Amino acid sequence: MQATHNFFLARTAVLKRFAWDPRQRVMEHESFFYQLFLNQQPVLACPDVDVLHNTTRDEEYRERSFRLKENRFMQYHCKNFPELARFHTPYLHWRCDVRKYCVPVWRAQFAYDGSECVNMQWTGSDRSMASLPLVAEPIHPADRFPTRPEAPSGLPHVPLLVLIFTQRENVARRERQRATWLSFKWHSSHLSHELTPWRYLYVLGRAPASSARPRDASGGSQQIDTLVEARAEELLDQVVGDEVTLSAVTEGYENLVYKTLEAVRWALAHTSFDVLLKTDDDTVVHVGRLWMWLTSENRGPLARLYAGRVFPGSQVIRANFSRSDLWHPSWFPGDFTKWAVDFDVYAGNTYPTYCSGGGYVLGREASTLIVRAYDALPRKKVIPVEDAFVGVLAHSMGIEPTAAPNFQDPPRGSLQTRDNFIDQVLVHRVVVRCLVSEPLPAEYAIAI
Amino acid sequence: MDSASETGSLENVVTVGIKHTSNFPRRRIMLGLLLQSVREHCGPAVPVLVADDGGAPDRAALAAAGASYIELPAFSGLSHGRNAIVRATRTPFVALMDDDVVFHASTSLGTLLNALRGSPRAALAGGCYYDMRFGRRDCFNLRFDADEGGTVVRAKPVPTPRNRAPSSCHAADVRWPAERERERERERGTARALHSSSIGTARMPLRNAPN
Repeated sequence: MQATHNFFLARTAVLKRFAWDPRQRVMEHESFFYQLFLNQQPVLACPDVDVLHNTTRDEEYRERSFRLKENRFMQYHCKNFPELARFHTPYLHWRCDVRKYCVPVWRAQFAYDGSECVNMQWTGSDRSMASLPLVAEPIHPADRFPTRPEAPSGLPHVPLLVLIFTQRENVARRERQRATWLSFKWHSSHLSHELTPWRYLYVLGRAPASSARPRDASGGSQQIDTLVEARAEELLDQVVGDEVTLSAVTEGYENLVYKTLEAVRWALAHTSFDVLLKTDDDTVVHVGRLWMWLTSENRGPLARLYAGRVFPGSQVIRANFSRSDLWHPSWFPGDFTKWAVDFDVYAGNTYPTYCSGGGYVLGREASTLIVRAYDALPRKKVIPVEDAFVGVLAHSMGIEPTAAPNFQDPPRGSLQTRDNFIDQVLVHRVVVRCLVSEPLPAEYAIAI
Repeated sequence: MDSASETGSLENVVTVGIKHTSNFPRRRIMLGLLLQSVREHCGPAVPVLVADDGGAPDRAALAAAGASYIELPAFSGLSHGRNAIVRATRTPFVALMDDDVVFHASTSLGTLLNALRGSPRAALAGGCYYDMRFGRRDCFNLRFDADEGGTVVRAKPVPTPRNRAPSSCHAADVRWPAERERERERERGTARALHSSSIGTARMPLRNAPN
């Protein structure tokens, strides 16, 4: 059995681990039991035990209870399980793909009276509160995600793991990605019905302690936000929906370099991946083409792979630089000195060839070596330019980057159309406007 | 949870947790009936927790039943209320219910407890509702079928007939198909390479199919 009524005896420890989503003041039942199901928590049904249920409801309750205002709470089931497009129960249908839910018309005279569909309220945070396994077999079948005898016991095997770096406030960017390439059924090659064996995860840092939390516009009170934050603290370093929040780093651009290395460390410890793609929440990836390139016949072993759009001979920025010191001023934004490096951290004029941070792939051995090189380094020797630093670490371990074809970083402010994506594997700094004919969310004005 | 701590009599290992909304008069009456019935059927020693997001509890009824009171933020809802009960629970098992139920002769927490003790991997054991208004029993047992890469899920009702072996429960095999396949291979003795410590392969002791 996988679900029962809300009258049960439970192991307290299990309920502490798989709690209810505090935002779901009602309509919590399906999320709770589906979470147990995906985590392989057996549920027993004992038909010889029953309890009298008083279903009489008075007028006041009808008017004031949340029970009959479920519209506000339907969204969280979809948010808790980002992969869901449709979720059918005998009495309600969630249509997460179109953000509607449908209720059978109980008093229908004819079968074709069908059901009534209503728009869900869709407000506030996109975050999930469901603790999930990275690979759950009904969703990620064993023929695509086979267990590896050599992997440490219990680690899920993900041939291609995509880590997307994001920040809590970039809700609109995540929604766009989920609605486009993240929910697309990518195939392994042309005319193949085999699906690409990949999983993605958003990577977040902990919220800075002092930051004011945005109010949940769904009418949720500050109290509920606090509860959500408290629950999120309990779930650090765990897969929650399609996110993982790293306990080791706090959010912020200055911590990006630490976040990258901690994310790679997390991936090594929690999954047995073959290849990891590090990318951003303003990137569009053609996962099928990437997988084809990775698995093409003339490609050597993937373990030591470090590939992306390569930057050879990139200039090292110093704190006292002005624009006239730059070899290619047009490549840099106004605040380029945020990438300044002290001489005692890195003395050369140029970095070794490295891959653009918009998206690069790392094999498992390369990832291990890069984290090892980082751990051997005194903390003050960290280069604040995330992608260059990964290149320096890789270089120090004898791993040289490979130029991956068709990884693009369109220049800032350049005109983007759908043509930008023709034949590409990965396009960074995507201005979503060219992909969808919808009004641009405010945050994209800054991203251009 | 250490299984040794799960042993002992019911009142030592089970807490009854009730999510209540006290700002509706009828719910206060319902809670009074429920508390009374819990004491009648489970005895005076079982710890009872009432988590209330209504702010207007019937203190006399709570005191008479010896129930502990957890005050929740107004209208904070079912999920937070149940989480609060779980956090306040000090026993290895917790019986969760809403305030609109009443215990009667066939409300046996002991049966649920035995079912869980007989099935160490099980998360919970659920009972059925008997609708007092319409005189209908309904167990609401569902099975989830996930298709198309988990994007389409159907929760389907599963019949769970009663009166089979005395006080027995239905368990679904929650191992995924590939896991079952691995176990079959192991049983055939052909899977030397597979390590026995992989997760979730422990056999469920409570697979009492009705045959």
